[in-house]
Parts: sequence; structure tokens; C-alpha cells
Amino acid sequence: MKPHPTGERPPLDLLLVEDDEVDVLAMRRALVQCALPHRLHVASDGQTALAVLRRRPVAAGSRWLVLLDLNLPRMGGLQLLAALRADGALAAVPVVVMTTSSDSNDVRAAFRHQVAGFFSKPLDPLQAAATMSTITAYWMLSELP
Amino acid sequence: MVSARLLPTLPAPHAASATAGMTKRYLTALGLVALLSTAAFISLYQTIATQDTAAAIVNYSGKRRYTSQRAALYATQLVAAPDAAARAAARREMLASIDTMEAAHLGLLRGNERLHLPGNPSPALAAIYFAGPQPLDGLVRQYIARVRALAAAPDALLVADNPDLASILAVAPGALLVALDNVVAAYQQESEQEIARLQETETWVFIATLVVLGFEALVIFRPMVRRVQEERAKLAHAEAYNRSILANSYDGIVTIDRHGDIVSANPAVEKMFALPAAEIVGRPFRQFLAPGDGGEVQEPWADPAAGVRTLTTRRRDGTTLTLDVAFSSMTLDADHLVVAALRESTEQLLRCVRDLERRNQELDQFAFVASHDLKAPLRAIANLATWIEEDARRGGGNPDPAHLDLLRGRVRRLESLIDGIHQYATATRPQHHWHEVDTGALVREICDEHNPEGRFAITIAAGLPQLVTDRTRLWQVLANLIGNAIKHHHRSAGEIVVSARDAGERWEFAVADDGPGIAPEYHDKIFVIFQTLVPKDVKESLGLGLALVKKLVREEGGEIALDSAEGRGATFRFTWPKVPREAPT
Repeated sequence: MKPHPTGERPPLDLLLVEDDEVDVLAMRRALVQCALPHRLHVASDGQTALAVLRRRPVAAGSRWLVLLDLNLPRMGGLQLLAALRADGALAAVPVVVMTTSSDSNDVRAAFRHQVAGFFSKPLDPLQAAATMSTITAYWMLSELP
Repeated sequence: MVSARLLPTLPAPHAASATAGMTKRYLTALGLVALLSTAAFISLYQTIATQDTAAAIVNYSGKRRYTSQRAALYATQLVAAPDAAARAAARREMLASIDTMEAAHLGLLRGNERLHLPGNPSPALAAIYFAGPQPLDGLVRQYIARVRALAAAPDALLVADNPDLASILAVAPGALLVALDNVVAAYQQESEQEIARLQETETWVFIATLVVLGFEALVIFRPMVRRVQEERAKLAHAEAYNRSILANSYDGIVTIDRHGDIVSANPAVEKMFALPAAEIVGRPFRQFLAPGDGGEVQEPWADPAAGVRTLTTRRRDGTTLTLDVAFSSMTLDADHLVVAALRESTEQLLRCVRDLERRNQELDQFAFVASHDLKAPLRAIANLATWIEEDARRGGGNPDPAHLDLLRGRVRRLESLIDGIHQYATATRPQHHWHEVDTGALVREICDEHNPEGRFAITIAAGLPQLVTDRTRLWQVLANLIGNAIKHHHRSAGEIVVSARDAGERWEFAVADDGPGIAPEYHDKIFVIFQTLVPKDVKESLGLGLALVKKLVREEGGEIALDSAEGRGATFRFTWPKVPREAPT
């Protein structure tokens, strides 16, 4: 994999909200494999994710992109989205859903919370890495709040 | 059939006028018959009276003839009498005869009630009496006068050539006898004619009677019979109509007498009670209700104002059916009856629909969650296998043991998920197995299994009930709740209290712990299958137990609720039926 052009922009702060250890490992491997410079933060559930975001809000210079699994213990992905959108400081943070679920109800609910994309986790790890790389490349081109 | 008898016949708006018409017809018929009988009676009476009169007339006209000759005989004797005594006797006899003759003659002419003589002779006879050269009346009067003159004559004049005697002896056997004979014959002929005429009248009355009876048979009685036949056919039709309505009614219809016994039942009732009508009719209605039903109103059928009530029938095979029963009263032939219309309770149907909807929803959720949760470990396995392969290709020597551990862990998780799905799907088999269960002993048994080392202080409150229920199901519910209290406790020791209280129709069991507690926002989530509050990697938990518990409790018609807050322990309360939902088999 060739690194994507990043321009002058600093790398992203990826917040992976994921309770499955193997999926976290997969993300780390994908970043390494694609030689992506982004910082990876991990939260195993919605509440931890909120805590992480609140500790380092956007104003502090972080370029947050949340990668969200919907099926989480305690506070679920959709609940976390609702909490984010209700939080003045975090309402604008872009969130990309990456989940096993492709249930149409979940897709609709997620987009109602203005997610920036909704992806099913591919079974094939190579394809997963490619998806990851595409998403981050896209966001490197985009301005972030 | 009793049931048909109880139903009103079809409305017949013309019935009243039809009845009036029929009444008029048979009154006419009876009137005519009465009239004819009277005519026959009068005609017969007249015949008899005429015969009486004719007999009297003939008798007295004969007597007149006979006494005339007798007077002549005594006239001869009077003249020829040897002495005064003989003369006196002859004179007496002669006068008696002539008196009789005169009375008969006057009676025949002018009428005499005592002698039953009408007098007033017919014109033909009047002609004999008063017309012609020698009218009979004159002849008779002269004769009587001669006889009386002879009787009054002194003895000296009583000689053979007495002119009166001569006249008497000349007239009596001659002109007078002939005339009197003629008149007797005339009277006889006349009375025979009269009787013949009356007999003819009688014949005519008889013929008229036959004609009228024939007329009545054709014009009055035949239509009446036809009408009655028509009415009967209409009634039979109405009865068949009513019976077929009853037979095809979706609603069960039962009539109950004032003793509470069933008088009739239609086929729908047979289906509802699962019994033939013969085994329903005549038995008390109460007998078909589940015990305790109609409790607050002792005899709901005795009070039609009770309106629609929901009652439960218990069939012989032990199954029950909830019915909406509408009571109304009816009076038939002074008998007071209650009509009960039975319909399968919509309440029960709605409950079934809600039940099905809920199950459908659960099934959807189950299928979705199951597929999602099965995919997650599969994906992990695919990832790990690829990494191990990549690392090996890069010449990394032995595979990373952490990866291998994870791989095995995911395979185990997949296996237990599949087991869990099977367990969840088969947790509520269609049949129940009923047992008398001592719930206190059941809880002790569960505690021994889940708390073998006695790290947890488990209190079993007094008053845990004895009940008939499906032991395995109750065991699963209590074991999961107690097991969870131990498994998810934040310390290695703690306190658990199991108790029960009477909640009316059900028992309410409670399992309380002093564990970490669960924040209210997760109270719904914990009952969803495969949902866990701790990442599966941290605590190997399927998230199956509470979903299973909820399914079992709901299946028994109960509810489960959680009372808990973070840091304050948790109390799970669930209700469980006191009596089996269906009868023990």
C-alpha cells in the first residue's frame, strides 16, 4: 500500500470505539500496513469514548474522527451518537460507523445522527485495511471542525 | 326439539285478520246447520201435530156416523118398549147418542180444543156441509131435532107411526148415512193429502240440509283445512328457519331455566364445551364453568342486568376457554328463562395476538442479534488466520502465541454462542411438565450448586411457597438470577436474599444482591439476548441468561423487573403463576 498524500495537514486522531480485542488489533495492523501516521485511541464502550473526547476536545487542537461500532456493552453506539450530538462541544465531531450490523433500521438511525458514513466490517482483513485506508485518505483531504 | 320451541316463530302480520275470517266462516257454517235443524224439527213437529188432528177428525166424524145409527136404533126400541122402565132406558141411551153426535158435529164444524178438533173445514168439505141440494149440516140438524122431538114426546105418542120416528128411520140408514160416509171418506182423503204434503216438505228440508252441508264442506271447511295446512307449513318453515339459524350460529346460545339448569344448547355450544348436546341439556350451567368463575355474583344468569360477563369454561379434557357471555331474560308461556350468548372472548384473542406480536418481535430481534453475534467471532477468526499466515510468510518463525490464544478463544466463543442459541430456542418447549414444587428446597438446591464454597451469604426468606408448576422452568429462572448475582458481584463475597410474597393471582419472587448494581439506563438492555454490559473479552459472558429468564417468565404470563442503581446492589423481581396455566395432564 502506498501512503496517501496528506498535504500539509497533521495526522488524524482516530477514536476507535470497539469492544472486540481482535478488531482493535486489526485496526492497528491496518494502520501499520498502510503506513498511516494517524494516532489511534481506543475506547471499549460509549462512556469511555465520551470521556476520552471530553478530555481532549476539538478546541485543544485534536483532529478527531470517531470510528464507531454500534454493538457495544453498556452504552451502545447509537446512544453514544445521541450523547455526542447533544453535547455542544462534541456535536460537530465526524463519526463513521463501522459495524457488523447492516440492519436498515440501524443505518437510518445512524444517519439521523448525521454520521459521515456507515460501513459493514468486511470479513476479509485485506479488504478491511483497504476500507480503512480509503476512509482516512478521504478525511485527510477534508477540512475538520 | 326443545331449542326450536323456545324461539319465536316468523312474524305473521296477517294472522289476526286471518283468524277473524276463519271465525266468521265457521260461525256461518254453524248458523246454517242450526237453521236447517230448526226447519227439520218444525217440519217433523207439524207432521206429528197434523197426524194427531187428522186422527181426531177421522175419529169424530166416524163417531158422528156411528152415534146417528145408534140414536136410530134406540128410537126404535123406545117405541117398542114394553114398559116404562125400558122406555126410560131407551130414551136415555138415545139422548146420550144424539148428544155425542151433536158435540162431534159442532166440534167438526166450529172446532173444539178439548176434543183436539180444529173446526174450520176446507172449502171442499164446507161445500158438502153447506152447499148442494141437500147440505149435510141441515140434514144433521134436522135429524138431531127429530130425535130430540121424539125423546120429548109423551108416551101416548110413542107409536109406530110417529112422524118423527118415521123421519128418523127414513133418514138414518138412507141419506144421512150416505152423506156421513162420504164426509168420513173426504176427511180421510184430506188428512192423507196433508200428511203427504208435510212429508214432501220434510224431504225438501232433508235435501236442503244435504246441499248446505255439501256447500259448507266445499266453500267453508275445505278452505279452512287448507288454511290450517298452510299455517302449519309456515310454522314448520319458521321452525326450520330458526333451527338452522341456531345450528349455524357462530355464537353459542344456551337457555337456562330459573333453577340454573340448561334447557337448550346449540351446536356452537357443543363445540365450546366439547360435549354433545345430550350431555349439556338438563345440567346446571354452573357445572360448565371453571371453579371460582361467577364468584362475585353467585348466579350471574339469575341477574340479566349482569349484561356481558367474561367467564371461563373448563372442558372435560382439562383445557379452558375464556368466553364473553351476554345474559338476557325471556318469558315464554309464563316460564322465565335466561338466554346466554357465548362467544370466545375477544380479550383472550387479543391477548393471543399481543402474545404473537411480541414473540414475532422477539424472533426478529433474536435472528438479527444471533446473526450479528455469530459473525463477530467469525470475522475475528478470519483476521487472526490471515495475520498468522502473513507473519509466517514474513519469516517470523513461530506464530504469535497471543494470536493463537485469541483464535482458540473465538472458536470457543462461537461454540458457546451456538450452544446458547440452541438453549434459548429450546428453553420453552411446547409442553409443560407439572410437579408439586417446594420453592424453598428448590432455591437451596440452586445455592448448593452455585455457591459450593459458601463464599456468599445466601438468605432464603421464610414463606417461599409450595406450588404446582413446571419445575425445570422455575429452576432455570432462579438459577440464572442467583448465578448472575454471584458471577457479576464486584467482590468475591457478598449477600444474596431470595424471598417471595403473595401478589394476588401470582407469587412475586425477589432475588436481591449487594453487588455493583446496574444504572437505570441499562435496565432494558440487559434483558436483550447477547447484550452484555462488560466487553466479552473482559468477562466471558454470553449475555444469554437474563434474556432466557425474561423469555421464561413472559411465557408463564409473568413480568420481570429490576430495581437497581449503580453502587446500590440489584433486586430482580418476577411474578410466577400460583396455579398452572393449563390443567395438569
